[in-house]
Amino acid sequence: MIEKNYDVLVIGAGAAGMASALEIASAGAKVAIIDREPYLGGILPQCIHNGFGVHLFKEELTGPEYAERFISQIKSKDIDVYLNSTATRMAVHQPVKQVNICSSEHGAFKINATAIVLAMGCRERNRGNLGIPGTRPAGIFTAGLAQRLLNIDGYLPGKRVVIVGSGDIGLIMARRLTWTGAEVLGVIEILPYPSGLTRNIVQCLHDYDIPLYLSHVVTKIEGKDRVEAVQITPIENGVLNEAKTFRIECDTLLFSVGLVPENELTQSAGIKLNPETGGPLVDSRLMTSAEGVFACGNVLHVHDLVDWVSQEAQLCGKEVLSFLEGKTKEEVQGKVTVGPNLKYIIPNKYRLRTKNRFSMRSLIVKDKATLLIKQGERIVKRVPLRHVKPAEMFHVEVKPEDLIDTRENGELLPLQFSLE
Amino acid sequence: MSSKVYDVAIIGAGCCGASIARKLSAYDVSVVLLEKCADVCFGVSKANSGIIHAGFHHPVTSLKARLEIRGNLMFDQLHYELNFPFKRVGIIVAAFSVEEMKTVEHLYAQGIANGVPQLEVCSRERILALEPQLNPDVVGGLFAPTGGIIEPYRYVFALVENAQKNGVEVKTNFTVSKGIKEGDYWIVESKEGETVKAKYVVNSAGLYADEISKCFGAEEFKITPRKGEEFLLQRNARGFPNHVIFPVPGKHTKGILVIPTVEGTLMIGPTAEEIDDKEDLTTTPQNLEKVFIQATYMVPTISRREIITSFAGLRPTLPGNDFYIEPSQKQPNFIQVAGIQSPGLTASPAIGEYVKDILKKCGLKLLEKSDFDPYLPKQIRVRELAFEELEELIKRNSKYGNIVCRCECVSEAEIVEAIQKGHTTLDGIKFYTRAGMGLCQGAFCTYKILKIISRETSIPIEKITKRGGGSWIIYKKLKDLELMENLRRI
Amino acid sequence: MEKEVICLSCPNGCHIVVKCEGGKYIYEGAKCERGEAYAYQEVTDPKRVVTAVIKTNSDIMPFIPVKTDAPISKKYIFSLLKEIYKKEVNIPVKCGDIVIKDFMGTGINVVITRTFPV
Repeated sequence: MIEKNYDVLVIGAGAAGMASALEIASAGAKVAIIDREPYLGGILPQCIHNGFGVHLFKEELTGPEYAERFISQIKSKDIDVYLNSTATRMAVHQPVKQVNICSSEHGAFKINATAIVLAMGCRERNRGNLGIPGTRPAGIFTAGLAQRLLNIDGYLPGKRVVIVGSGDIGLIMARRLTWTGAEVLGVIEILPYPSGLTRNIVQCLHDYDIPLYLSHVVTKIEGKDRVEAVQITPIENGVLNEAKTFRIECDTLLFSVGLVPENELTQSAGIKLNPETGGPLVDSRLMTSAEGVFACGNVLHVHDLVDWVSQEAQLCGKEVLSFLEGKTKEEVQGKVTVGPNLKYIIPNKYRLRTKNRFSMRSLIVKDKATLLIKQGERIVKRVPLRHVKPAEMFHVEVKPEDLIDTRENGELLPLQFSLE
Repeated sequence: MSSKVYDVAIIGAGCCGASIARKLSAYDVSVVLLEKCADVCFGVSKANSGIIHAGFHHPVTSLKARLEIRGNLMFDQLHYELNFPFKRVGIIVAAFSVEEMKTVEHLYAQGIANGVPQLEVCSRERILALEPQLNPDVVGGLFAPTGGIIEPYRYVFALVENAQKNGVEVKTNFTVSKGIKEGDYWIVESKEGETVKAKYVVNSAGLYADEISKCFGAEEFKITPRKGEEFLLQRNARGFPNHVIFPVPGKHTKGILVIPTVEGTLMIGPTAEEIDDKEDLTTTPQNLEKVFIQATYMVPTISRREIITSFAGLRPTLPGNDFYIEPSQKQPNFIQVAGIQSPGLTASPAIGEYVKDILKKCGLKLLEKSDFDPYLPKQIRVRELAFEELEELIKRNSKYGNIVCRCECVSEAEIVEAIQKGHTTLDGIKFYTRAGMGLCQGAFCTYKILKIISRETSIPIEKITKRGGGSWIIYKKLKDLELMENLRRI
Repeated sequence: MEKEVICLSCPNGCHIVVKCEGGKYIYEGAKCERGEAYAYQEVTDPKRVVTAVIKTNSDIMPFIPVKTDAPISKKYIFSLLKEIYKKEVNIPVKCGDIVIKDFMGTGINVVITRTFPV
């Protein structure tokens, strides 16, 4: 059995994997990166639309172009890339972790690494998870699968399409399908407001007169062999109004109903997950409950903008380097508590001597909100936020000078966050 | 039209037809197995819950009970020969009241009369010790250690594969439309324009056994579909029990069960509802809700958040509720195998035997084949291999290293094997390999599998289907698209 | 003429009503001049960046993504798409390679957005 040794193994060569690998390799550490697809870039190569990189590169790039910024660098650095390779098992021994990998080209082999970066991204929620009643015909796709089939393989999945979910992926596919001659008959959204960016509502739906049915739900799928129609029911006063159910005849259904971090490998190694995010619990170093195993990107928590994925991954890479140099072990960390109106905060710990960067999501929609941060009774910071909503992740920095070393029973007082 | 006259034509390749085919393949007779769907096991048997019943649910006077008991006993040998996954996990019937315990006592007595081994009436302590996840309101129950679970389609595929190995021919996409008597054989015609001739015909056509009987001018009876809806939950789901958990049975149904499947996923259901339409496989919110309520009553930790998917199946029921397995009284050499609902899967090995004996009594000469090979090698599954074994395998065939379905860890080689065995639809490959059955429900592997099917069979992508018929997946290749008329003006 | 436009220049997303009276444009609801400029463009000559995939001569990468290198008038979008679908490019291609130059005199090019092979 071939065993290869590296300082760091990065699992996943999407936005997060590439950025963290580059950060780590730039400092001279020996890095391997693996991905199950035959190309680098993760999901980016199939996201042929633009809107990426506005924050990181101050330019509007398409997904492939954004990926290219990293891919070109990977080639120039001394990073060992294993494509068409799948990690089947991870054992978090200390101090060296071992991952079983299999690929047609390289066979079955093991990689031993002092540190691992989990960057496996996420999968899509689908019709099955939602338990939507009706038949199970052909023609039901997740938006991501339809996007892959269309943009990479050149296969048009259907002719008359209904899209469930008004998140950006669904909206983008509405326009994409219209641009290939398919007819998009409507976008069905359970909430009273759309989940995606206003820009996409305008440029993907309004431009093509595609109806957006807010506060509506698919209540039945019809079709024996292939999708034939869907039944749509409005929600009024929080309840389904069955009397107003109507039917849309179509042959294809696309589901864009949410993403789930892909942590099967993580869990199988016994690493603890955060039920609020679906990703691993991490401390202020973005290290999981397994020493030397880090996580960043969508596998940690689902992001809205790839720019923040790259930024988080770069920070993660820096933490991995500090870890390899033995610098971070002794630093004391305190807990982070999630107070009212916040869904989650990452990471789950804070530290005193290094800058902290927190990512979080609001539970509420509000203009002119305030994020209140406290250490015990002491107010650390009040951060004014122009507009918060669940669909938009935001970030807050807490610097060492904002904090004091205050403890109870030897432990740092928790850092409490709440939104008002 | 070919002039070959088979000894036996079996109509319907579900668990019964497949079992009969395999049984007959041990003899020097020519057999053809006819199936209207694109693949075997695509009818009633596809949605089966996979339970091998212990044999206490039906009275000793019924044919069902006798065949169920015999069938249950045959599974160890079949598992050994054919290597489909099978586990005797045991069955528990949980009682939640004194009334229900009385039914348990009745089931116990029935089981003893049927000859069920190791049956045990349990106290509350005993049942909670056996199954700690049960609702603590349980007052007691029945424990049958000889109950078990299988994956029904892998069982049927294995039966058919072994039957084929021993000379049985299989024709799919063959929808029987007419049976005409011609001298001492039958001419069996299909809707698709094909014809087969056979001396004996076995009607094991599941939901359509009544219509097939009519096609042949045999007995008139009515099959009423009884729909069952089920949920599938992920591996490591909360509430995964040690045994199959049954409630105390109702009048017509064994109830909504909590089933630890042999692959480690969790299944809850099925409901039971008589309907009219033999093609109605819709799941309904009310029934799915019912499933959850009843399942979580028995095992409170089961969580809605762990659902992977839901589906429905149809049981072919006859009035009287017993199996109808007899030679036709109206037509010669025509054997009825109808009304095979629960415990049909359990009984199927015994049904194979039973029908073989009926055919013998009807005059079919059965000489044992000297070269009958009852074995099928164990299917190679990358998922189940030790890593060192996988290393060796990849060296011999690099396609074992290409993991196509990451959720279930299925390699390209396994998918190619499924295709070479005739499973060329997405569902057929799914049932043979498990590719597409996992958490992502095919989002990450479908595009790869479509290309593999096209490469191996030369079927163009647009012609590949989910399960035959009109279940196309891809509308057109972009390269073929005539966009001029399709693109609308903004 | 009266039209409502949602401004995309900043996250405010102002709903701007544009009226044309006597040759002059009047804006209601814009919080800044960027909004007025955006609304004017949207109402007189709305433009969009178009992205698509183009056929290649490769079996491994049968389609490669492309985009317009600047927003193009909406009225040209479908003729542009038809043009893109008719063409085929030869591998290798580099990000930035021009596949359609100066479409219909607009000065806008269609460029490759993915280098292949890497």
